[in-house]
Amino acid sequence: MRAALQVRGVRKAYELHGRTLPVLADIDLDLEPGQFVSIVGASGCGKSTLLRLIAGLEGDYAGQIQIDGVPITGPGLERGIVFQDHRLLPWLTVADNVRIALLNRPITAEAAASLVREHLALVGLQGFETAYPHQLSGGMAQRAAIARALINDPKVLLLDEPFGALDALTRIRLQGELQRIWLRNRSAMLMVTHDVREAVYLSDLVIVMGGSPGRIVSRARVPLPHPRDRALAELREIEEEILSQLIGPADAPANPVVAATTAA
Amino acid sequence: MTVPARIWTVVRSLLIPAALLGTWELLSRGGAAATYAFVPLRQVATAARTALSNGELIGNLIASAEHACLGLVAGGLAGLLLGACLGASRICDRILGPLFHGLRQVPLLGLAPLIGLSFGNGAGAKLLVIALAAFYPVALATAGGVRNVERAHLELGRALTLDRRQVFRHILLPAAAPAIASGFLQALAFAWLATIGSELLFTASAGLGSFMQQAEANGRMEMVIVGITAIALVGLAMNGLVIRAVHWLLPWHAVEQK
Amino acid sequence: MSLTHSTAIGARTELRATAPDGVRAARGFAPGVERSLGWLAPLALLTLWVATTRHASDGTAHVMVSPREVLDAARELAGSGELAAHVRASMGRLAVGFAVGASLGLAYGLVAGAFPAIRSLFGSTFHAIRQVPSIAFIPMLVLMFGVEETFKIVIVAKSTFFPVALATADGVRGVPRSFLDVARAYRVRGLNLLRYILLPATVPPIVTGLRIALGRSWMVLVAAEILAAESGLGQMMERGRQMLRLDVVLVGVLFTGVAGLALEEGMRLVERRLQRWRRA
Repeated sequence: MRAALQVRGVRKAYELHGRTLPVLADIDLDLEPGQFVSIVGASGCGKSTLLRLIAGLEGDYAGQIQIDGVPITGPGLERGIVFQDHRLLPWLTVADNVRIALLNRPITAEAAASLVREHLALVGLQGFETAYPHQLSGGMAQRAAIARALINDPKVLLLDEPFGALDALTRIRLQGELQRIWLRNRSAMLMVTHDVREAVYLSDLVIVMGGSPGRIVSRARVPLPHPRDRALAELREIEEEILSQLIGPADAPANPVVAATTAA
Repeated sequence: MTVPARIWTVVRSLLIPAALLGTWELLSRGGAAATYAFVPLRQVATAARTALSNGELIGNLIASAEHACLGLVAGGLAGLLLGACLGASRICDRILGPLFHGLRQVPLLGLAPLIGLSFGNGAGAKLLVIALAAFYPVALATAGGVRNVERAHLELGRALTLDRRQVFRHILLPAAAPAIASGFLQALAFAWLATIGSELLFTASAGLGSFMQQAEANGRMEMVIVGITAIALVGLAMNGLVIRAVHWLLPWHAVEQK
Repeated sequence: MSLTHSTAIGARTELRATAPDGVRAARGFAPGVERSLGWLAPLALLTLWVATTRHASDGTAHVMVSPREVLDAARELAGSGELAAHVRASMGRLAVGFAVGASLGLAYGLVAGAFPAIRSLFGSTFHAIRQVPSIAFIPMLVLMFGVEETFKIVIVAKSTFFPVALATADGVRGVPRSFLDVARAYRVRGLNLLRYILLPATVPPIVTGLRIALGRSWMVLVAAEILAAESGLGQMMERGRQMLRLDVVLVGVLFTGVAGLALEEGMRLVERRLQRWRRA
């Protein structure tokens, strides 16, 4: 079976005042249909840049990125994206915000309306169709963003630190929601996160990135069935293993972001 | 608020005006010279009633309002167009920007003799002045609103593969709308000011400014006072209406009144 | 589960915040070219002006006037001392009116800012009078005071009073409660309180209010002079208009604009000096 997403030999560098700053080096990764893959790494290792390249929001790279064997050219509706900030347009209602993703699809208004309703129900926002973003909590707004990203039935859903802006309790709740939605929906998921626990809980495969320029340091399979119990011991083991990689032996001050993840 | 508290608020706001009117009436009793300057309130009331009944006041009021609206629309549209250009295109901003900001410094009413000489003294000149007064606030606000559309939202547009027209209609325009609205609010105030000013400075035709100018020429102080009161009331009414209109148009955003 | 092992990783500063913008700046014109583009439009207008007046016939003498004629008129007026007299007259009225209006405005603003009772009492009247354009008061004031200096000073005072009063009241109300608490805790009172806390906190908005008032009053004064005066820049322009001397009018416009700019810039300098501790 063809991989939903194929990344081969991707390299990227920024030009800043005449200097070349390499950001990514030799990234190879595959995403199977229906698979959930997370990328973890310290800040600045280029994981978000990689995601944006796959999303088509940035270009100018060497290597190949293919969806279903077709090379990408800029953004496309077969790749949905959820940003860290929900980016709901403040002047549109929740329903209109989700509907805006359908602007370039040739469907009737009724079909669009029913799709919107369906996806809002999927993310648990039924009844909030006419609410405005400023009336929603952070978690609800992010759920709406997920609905918007899924409404075009994308081959790959890209998530860039989707729960990074939420408080800890909401984050945990939404992780569970995301798992539930994914099990219903089964699109391929590629999530960038700094939260190793979150990555291990949700994913089939955790890719660890690091270094400068960013490279793939290791890949950790999480061969546990879904849906998962957060308290599973195996999850903890995998998590510890990954963390020990991120917090290298030479590091005296621990990366504060990763340290927060290790706290109970 | 309880009813007595509400009554008290209204009474309290009327105290000073009442005191002022009382002082005025007192001063008007001070002899012939005083009566000329401080006309007795009864005279003012009579004049008001006359002006209202013979339609003079309403007619001039409507004329002024017409001037103001026309100028506001003309200047506002021009300002919208230029502002959108300045905000959206860096080249446009570079070329036209300095000229735009430089000309902004020139006081509009100080240009009245110049405009009068170049364009005559009639309706055209007045309209030009009013349109210019409305033009600048709208242009500035539009440029700012367009320029400050959040990059995150524009990027969302890209991710959703929206083309330029869709981005303009669904993202740029609504994002800039609050700024544009507040620009128009400011322009309204300036346009009203320019209306009265241009009516005073150019040849008399119709309008509250001309009404007062003629009253002054005839030495009719009570008519002048009627005129000023009318202007004050119209200004207050305008402010209230516009704020309500903005709240209705843009429910997701509160616009501050200067 | 097996993990492929690799080199240890070190932390690195986030690049993303700057890099994409850096990429964007790389496109577009060189900075020197962009800056000089700003002169394009004014130069074009100037060229147009010179070109049209060079080829103008006598019949269009009062429609279009060449830059040379404006300069000649300026020299003529300056030489005869007329220009200086007009400027002095205008500035004199501005100074007196501004002083009166500003002091009254400061006084009212301080009181209204400090005592909410006063504000609620006078507030509606204040607002009602304030939003009537100053120019609208000209007919009334002319009837009261005649066409002499008094009415012009009064109207400048009116035009100055309201912005200054508003800015002062806002400034006083804007002194953070926390500062006053600190003052009480350290027993800073009276003159010290004024000097170290109240003044520095309120002076910036007040000076901004003074600057705005100055600019507005200048405009109002010129308008008043156009309507009813025996001297002053406004009157000079109006007379030029009546005599169809566009060059005289333009000289007036020029000096009015330059004076306005000078006043504005002067006030901005004062503002900046007083706010050395603050970053714009």
